[in-house]
Amino acid sequence: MLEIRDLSTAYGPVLALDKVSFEVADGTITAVLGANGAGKTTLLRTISGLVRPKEGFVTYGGHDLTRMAVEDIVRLGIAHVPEGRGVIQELTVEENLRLGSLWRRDRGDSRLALEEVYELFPPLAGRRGQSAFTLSGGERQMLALGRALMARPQALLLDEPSLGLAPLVTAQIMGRLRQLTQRTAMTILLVEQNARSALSIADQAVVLSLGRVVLLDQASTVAGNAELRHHYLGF
Amino acid sequence: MTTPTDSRGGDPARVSRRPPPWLRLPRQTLLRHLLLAAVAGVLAFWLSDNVGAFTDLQLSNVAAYTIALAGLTVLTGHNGQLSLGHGAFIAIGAYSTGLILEHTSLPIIVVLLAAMGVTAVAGGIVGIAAARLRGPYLAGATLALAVALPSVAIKWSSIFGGEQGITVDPLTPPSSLGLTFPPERWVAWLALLTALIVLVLLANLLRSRVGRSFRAVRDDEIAASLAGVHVARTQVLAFVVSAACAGLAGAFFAFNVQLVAPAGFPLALSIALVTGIVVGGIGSLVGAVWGGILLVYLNQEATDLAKHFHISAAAGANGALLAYGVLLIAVMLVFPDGIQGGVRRLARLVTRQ
Amino acid sequence: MHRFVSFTLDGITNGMIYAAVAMALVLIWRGTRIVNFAQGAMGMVTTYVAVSLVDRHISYWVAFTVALVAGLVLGALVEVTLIRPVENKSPLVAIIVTLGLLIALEASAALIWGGRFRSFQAPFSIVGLKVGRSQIALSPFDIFTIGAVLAVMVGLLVLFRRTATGLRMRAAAFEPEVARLLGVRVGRVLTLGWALAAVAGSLAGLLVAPKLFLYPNNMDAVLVFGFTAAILGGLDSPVGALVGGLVIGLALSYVGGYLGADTESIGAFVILIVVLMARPGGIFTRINPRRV
Repeated sequence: MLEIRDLSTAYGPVLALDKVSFEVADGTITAVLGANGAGKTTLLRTISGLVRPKEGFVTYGGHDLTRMAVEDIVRLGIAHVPEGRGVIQELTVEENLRLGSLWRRDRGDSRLALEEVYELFPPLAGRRGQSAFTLSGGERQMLALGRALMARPQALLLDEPSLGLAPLVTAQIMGRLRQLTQRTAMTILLVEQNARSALSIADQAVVLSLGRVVLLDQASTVAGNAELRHHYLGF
Repeated sequence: MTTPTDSRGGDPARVSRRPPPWLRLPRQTLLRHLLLAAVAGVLAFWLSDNVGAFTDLQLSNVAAYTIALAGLTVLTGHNGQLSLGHGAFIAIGAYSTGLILEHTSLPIIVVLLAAMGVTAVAGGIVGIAAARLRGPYLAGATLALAVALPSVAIKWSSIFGGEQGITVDPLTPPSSLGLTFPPERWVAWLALLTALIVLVLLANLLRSRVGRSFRAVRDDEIAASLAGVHVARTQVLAFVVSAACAGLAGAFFAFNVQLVAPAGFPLALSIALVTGIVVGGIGSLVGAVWGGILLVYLNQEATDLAKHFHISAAAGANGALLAYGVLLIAVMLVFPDGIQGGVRRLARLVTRQ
Repeated sequence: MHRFVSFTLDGITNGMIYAAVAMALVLIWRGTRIVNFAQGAMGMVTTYVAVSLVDRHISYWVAFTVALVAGLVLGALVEVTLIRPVENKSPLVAIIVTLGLLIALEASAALIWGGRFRSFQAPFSIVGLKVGRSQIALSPFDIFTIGAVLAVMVGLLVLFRRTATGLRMRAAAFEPEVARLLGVRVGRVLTLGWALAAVAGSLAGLLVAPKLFLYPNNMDAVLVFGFTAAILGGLDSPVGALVGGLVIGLALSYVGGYLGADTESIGAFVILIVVLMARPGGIFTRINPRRV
């Protein structure tokens, strides 16, 4: 279980996260929603260790992530696909993918993982030797996701996977994510501006506003309650 | 979140920390700078009046370095363009001075202005050629210039005197100062006065709209150009200003050493200038003064220490260099804001008491 | 014609040395966005180490290897102690640190080993080979120079393109934050980059000493021309380092040969400016559209 307790992160004098607390049960999907600047990206960056919080804890599997280096958090089985995807354009598709599992010792399993990713995202297989610079937006998202999956993570932190993608592509990707959780009991923390698509696959919903948690409930409840949706999410 | 304000709109807690009225500086820029310069000037002239010829020579060197460093501060500190070749502009200023004095007998002020002008033009040419270069690419191009320029003097030796260089006759003080007035003191006075004028002018420039445009381009070119700043023109202007300063410095080096030769402008000079502005405190004109003092006196102290401890001159010189290298590293690791940054931090600590 | 061939061969040999220095600078620039002005001086120090061993009757090849290993260690040491603390500060700070290191290393070498010119005999003749009845400007040592630099470059190329370590280094150079999120220990990778660069620098020092003699400042000109070569080729490009090195080497050779030795640096400057005015990022600039 991923537990976030009283997490506060500041950039200089600006408080980006203000005592955020919630839990994510293993094998479930939690959608983190809210307007631009609400602190969603900062939340993921604090969990994955890119940013140190001012106060509060993030615990996972008995470890306090707020005291660990990014590289060590990765080795706990947490994969963070950052805002903008972080596809390394100067490398090929296959090199990007291989990067995802370099830290693991099991070479054989890494090769297996590579084949699984190509099966999951056929367009990548067709472009494996090409520079990542040539990929379309949707293909880059697949690459970023596939790269994260290479390490067989137990928890996946996704920052706005639907950004810049056509609705059909977004739906496909969301569907794949749902399948993944069902197959592998993976935990997913999904930051999205596109609340509707996120709620459609999520178990739990957390809504942030100005760094604070303003709504924490089951996704179905939030999606089903028109008043809640209008007030907090605008649709 | 409001803090209580006093009748003048300032935070009362801060007001009580300001120095008493008779110690405060006037608010208008020019007046403030002139006042500071006047105080410094009085101190400097009193100093030079009471020391011997050798110290006068050193003061003159400090002033010359300060002028060059001030110009480089504008270019690198405020405009963000790293020049590793400013020794070349000093050389141009020095050679212009030497050539003018060799072939004409114009008054000193004209010689200084001419040397400054020639070097400013050279700075403009280099600035235009380098207008599209950034960061290390600009650094590399200026480095190559600094290495290449002394060769020009050697190749066209009929004009520039080749390896031997051009000799510069010592400046004679005006007869109004008396027949026994030491020439070194006259040069020192000229150099110090020029340094003060340059510092005041540059201080005003940096506070003006032009100075703001320098910094805007340094911080974010695209934002600056969107705000209406003509980036290329700003870059070239910064080069011209800094080259003009270097040219003036070169003129004084010519008067001090009384010889203008290629060996006087090695790459090490350009390197020394860059280290001088950073150790002094990048972006700070006062830092340029610290840098000038450092460059002249570190060298001198080391030579003195060597004599004192009876080490060979070579070992002494190398010991000095080793100390300088270690000092550079240490200062950067501990005081990345240089000496002036350290002074400011100290001042803040003191005024908080 | 004979002169042209001489100048060309000379230019290629020297160009390879500049390429080695350029390669070192490129390696460090890609990883840490710093120009290591002390690279030449570091190579000079490790060459003195080799000379000290040879003086004690140790074989040249052992001394050669020790010098390269010393370079590896020195590079790593410098990165961890001097560069790591200033990595996040303004780039000017790091430049001053490397300049300070340059000055300190040259002064130390003078104090430890003295300033006089030392000879450093390689087990290859530096006399030009005989082709037919004439002597050409290519000696066995020149061939060794060209071969050694090529070997190091090929080695580095293989490292970058075919090994996991190379992949980590490239990822860390292009996108350090993303690399960290993928578990790459970016700090260690940077140290390795500096270590490998120092090996290239040490090689350059060892190759320069037999012809130019060994003295504390002997790598100054080599560094300047190596830096010029790196800029010419594009600081992000290892291929650029090789091309830039050869271009500078040949240019210096032709200009110096046909127009006189004192015009060499003028020629280098002119070529550099001409290329940079056309391509401000060097010949092989990276495809990286500026993200506004």
